[in-house]
Amino acid sequence: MLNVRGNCIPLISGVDKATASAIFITDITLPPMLYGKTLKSPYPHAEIIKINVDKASELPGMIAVITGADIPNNDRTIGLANADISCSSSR
Amino acid sequence: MDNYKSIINLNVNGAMYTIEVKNDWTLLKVLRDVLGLTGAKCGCDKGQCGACTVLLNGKPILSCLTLAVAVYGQEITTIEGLSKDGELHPLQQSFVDHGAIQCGFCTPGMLMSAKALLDFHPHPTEEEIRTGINGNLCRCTGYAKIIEAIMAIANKGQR
Repeated sequence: MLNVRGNCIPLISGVDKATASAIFITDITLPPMLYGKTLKSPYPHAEIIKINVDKASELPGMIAVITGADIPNNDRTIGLANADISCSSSR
Repeated sequence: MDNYKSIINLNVNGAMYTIEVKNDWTLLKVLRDVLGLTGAKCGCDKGQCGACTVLLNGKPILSCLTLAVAVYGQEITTIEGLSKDGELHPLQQSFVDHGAIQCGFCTPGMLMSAKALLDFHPHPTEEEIRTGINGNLCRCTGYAKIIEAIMAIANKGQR
């Protein structure tokens, strides 16, 4: 303890990160790997009324377009996390 | 045009590679996806963050904004080429010693910018160091320790 407390301790992963031998998630390739992309609303505090996935579904190589409708009993997992947030006094 | 391919030679970290690339592939894509050198990071892919910085003939460039076909036959140095024979480059050691590394995502690009800075200006002022790394964003350290780490090497006159 006494050789730790009050002393500057080098980061355990420091050398790995300095030499880039540290592997980040985006450095990993696992064939056959699927790539995902999220689409966010261009409008802040907007309510999602409908999502049209027709065009996205037709893209070459598309495996799946997933929306809140794909989640059983989805109440607010995708969509407004907190309906009150838009009128919160802290904003 | 996008589907046209070229055969190019690249000198990366002293090794010659002859590879087939699509004409619209960036140098970053070729380094990471073709050569497997994942040290240069894809942070923003827009030239805003500097995580993809590598050296082209000794000068720092953003590999995400550089087409691979545009650097045909030229000399590329990446973070993988910085340490020699398992021995850390003085800048790498200084970054470790000064706590200039936290998450490590900006580190490869930051180190390449710092190396280029010291290669061209062996004894920079703090202001010049700030200017030298102003194209590299770091969201962890607040830059102070990175500047200290580079300053320590500059004062030693080591490169």
